[in-house]
Amino acid sequence: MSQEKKPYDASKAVVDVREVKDRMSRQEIREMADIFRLGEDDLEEKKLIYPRMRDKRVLNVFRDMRTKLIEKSGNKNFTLMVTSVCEEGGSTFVANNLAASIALDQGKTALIVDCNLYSPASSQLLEGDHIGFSDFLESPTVSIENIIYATGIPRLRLIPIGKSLDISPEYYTSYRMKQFTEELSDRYSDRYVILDVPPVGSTTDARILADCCDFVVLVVPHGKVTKDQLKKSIANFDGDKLIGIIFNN
Amino acid sequence: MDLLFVIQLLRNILKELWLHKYWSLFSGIIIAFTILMFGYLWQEKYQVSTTIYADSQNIIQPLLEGQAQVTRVEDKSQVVKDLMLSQRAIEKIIIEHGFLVEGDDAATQAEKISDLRDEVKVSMLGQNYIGVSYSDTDPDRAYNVITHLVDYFIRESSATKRSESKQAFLFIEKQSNAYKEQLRLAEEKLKQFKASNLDGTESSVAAKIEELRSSISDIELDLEQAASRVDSLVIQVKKEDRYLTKKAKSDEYRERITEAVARLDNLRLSLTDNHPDVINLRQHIAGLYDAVDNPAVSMESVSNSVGSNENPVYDELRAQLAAAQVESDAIEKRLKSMKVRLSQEYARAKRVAERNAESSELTRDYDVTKGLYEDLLGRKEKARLSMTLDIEGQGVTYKIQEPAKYPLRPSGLRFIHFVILGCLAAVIVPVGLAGVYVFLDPRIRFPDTLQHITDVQVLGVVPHMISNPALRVRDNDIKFIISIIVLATLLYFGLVGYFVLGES
Repeated sequence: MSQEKKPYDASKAVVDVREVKDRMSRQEIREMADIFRLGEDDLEEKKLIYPRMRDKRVLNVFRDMRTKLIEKSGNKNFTLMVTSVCEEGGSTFVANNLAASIALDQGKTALIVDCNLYSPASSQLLEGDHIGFSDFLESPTVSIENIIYATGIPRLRLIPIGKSLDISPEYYTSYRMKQFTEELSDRYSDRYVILDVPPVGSTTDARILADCCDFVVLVVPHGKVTKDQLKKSIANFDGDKLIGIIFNN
Repeated sequence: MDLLFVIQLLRNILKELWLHKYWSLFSGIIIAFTILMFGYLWQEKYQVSTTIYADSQNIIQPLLEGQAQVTRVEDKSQVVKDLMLSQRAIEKIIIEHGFLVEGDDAATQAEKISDLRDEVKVSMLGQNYIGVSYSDTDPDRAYNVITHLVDYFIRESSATKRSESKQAFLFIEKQSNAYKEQLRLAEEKLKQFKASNLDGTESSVAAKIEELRSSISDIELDLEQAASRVDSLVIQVKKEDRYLTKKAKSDEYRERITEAVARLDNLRLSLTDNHPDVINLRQHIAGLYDAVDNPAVSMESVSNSVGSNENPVYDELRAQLAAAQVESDAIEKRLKSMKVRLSQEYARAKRVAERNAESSELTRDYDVTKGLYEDLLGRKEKARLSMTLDIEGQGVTYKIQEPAKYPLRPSGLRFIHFVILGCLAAVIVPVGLAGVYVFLDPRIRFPDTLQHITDVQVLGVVPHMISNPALRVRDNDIKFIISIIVLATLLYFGLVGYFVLGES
């Protein structure tokens, strides 16, 4: 694997992804990974895990959680929703790193979907305004391929929230949404989709989106939620779907 | 609470401290400097203490056991405090030792007196030792005040004791005089009663009655005897003839015949009829018969009875009878008079019994008064001894066991304590507050708690991930904080040095 460092260029990434979008296969995925690469400093700054990172504890925790999730799904790909109990709960950090840990496996790809209408978090991975998830829901002309972006990390893709931030959560129950999930998970058997969703404690988005996912993971931030808040949040989800809790220090 | 929990707790405390690092830092600094200032303004107190020995076990006591009461020191600490801190003593001290500033009004003065009272501590150290201590900001004054107090106390306590025992003596004396008068009155009454009562005692009356009774029974016996004598004399007088008649000679011969016949019968038992003695006797008897039959002899008796004379026996008997009758009459009279006397004695006995009740009441009064008076006399002597003991300075005496020492070093909290306390508090207070916050805050801080709340599996615990830029910021923060701490410490000890040097 080349260790050549390139400055991060989002626009180039978009072009690259579009060029290769129709010819994706395992081989192509691997090749795609080399299009551009984030340096270790960038990864550190974005709080993303990478194999040779300094703090091995974080890396190991995410690897361990990834393994557990894959075991629970029976080695099949899944759509996982990551939400937090409260604001600033670290769900984006957990979602990004879960995806990154999945992408560490050369046989798997991960796709992060930023569903955060209220405080778009994807800017961490992708700078600038891009069409994304909300635009897809609103406009029938936008296709999935148009909104998938490379992140600079091998085998990790991103669908940003997009520009149409004024859509209502009712769109999540529309036909377009159904089309969206089916297309994402069914198209590639080795693609793991992770939805980064606003906190369940403050919006209804998480509850609605949970229906479109296979599993839900709830992030409990350190020292920010009470027992009651946690119990209420858990009660929002179907017992089978809520696959686990992640305690974020 | 296992080790893991403790570690997690400590981590959480550190985290909270870091989150509020500037608050913690500055509150710590403010606390330290506040305590330092407080310590600088704190008035160091000099405590002086002394020990007084209450000597109640001197040589006199065993000698006078039960005789004189040695004035005891009951609840000594209170007694000492009361005496030592009497208004008079305190006022003197306040004036002499410069507690009063000119222009102090009555209220200020009262306050100062009360403050001084609070500062003097009296405590019992064992059975006989009394500890007295006093603290003041000025060592000279502390020393002077306590010396003054103890001197005053020792002087005053002996005076008090003396006056106490003297008063006790005077009281008992007064009482004993009163009883003396009472006793005199009782005695007087008893005397008067006895003078007016001449019936004698119950026992003497009883004895008299007994004596009379036995005399009466004796006299009665005598009377019986006299009566029977009179009776028998009367009978005899009747029997005896008034005139005397001579016996005939024939009667004499007949008597001699009877005697001889009896002798003959006896002889015939042992002798034969032919024995000369028997024959002689028979002849004699025959001769006697012949004599009787002789008419001369029988005539003799008739002639004699015609010439009669007075019978002397009869006369004698008559005389005796008269005498016996006189005696009997005399005895009878005596008996009568005795009976009269007996009835008199009975009347006297009744009177004696009646007066006896009165007499016993008077005697009782007298006895009781006498007993009390005698008891008081004994007590008076004891009181006199006790008084003498106190005047002589025996009994309980107070001695200074351990004299007051001039205080060279302040007692209690000193400046150095505040210096140390300031340092410690600066660390402990923020850490403690953070600990309390972590402990009381209901929000979830320990991943273990999750398992108690829900059955949902905990997939993992993500450690805090710090990015390189954040790490740099943190390092800078740490440097800044350390430099602030160093600066604050330098300033702190600089101030400490300044204060210490400034004072000396």
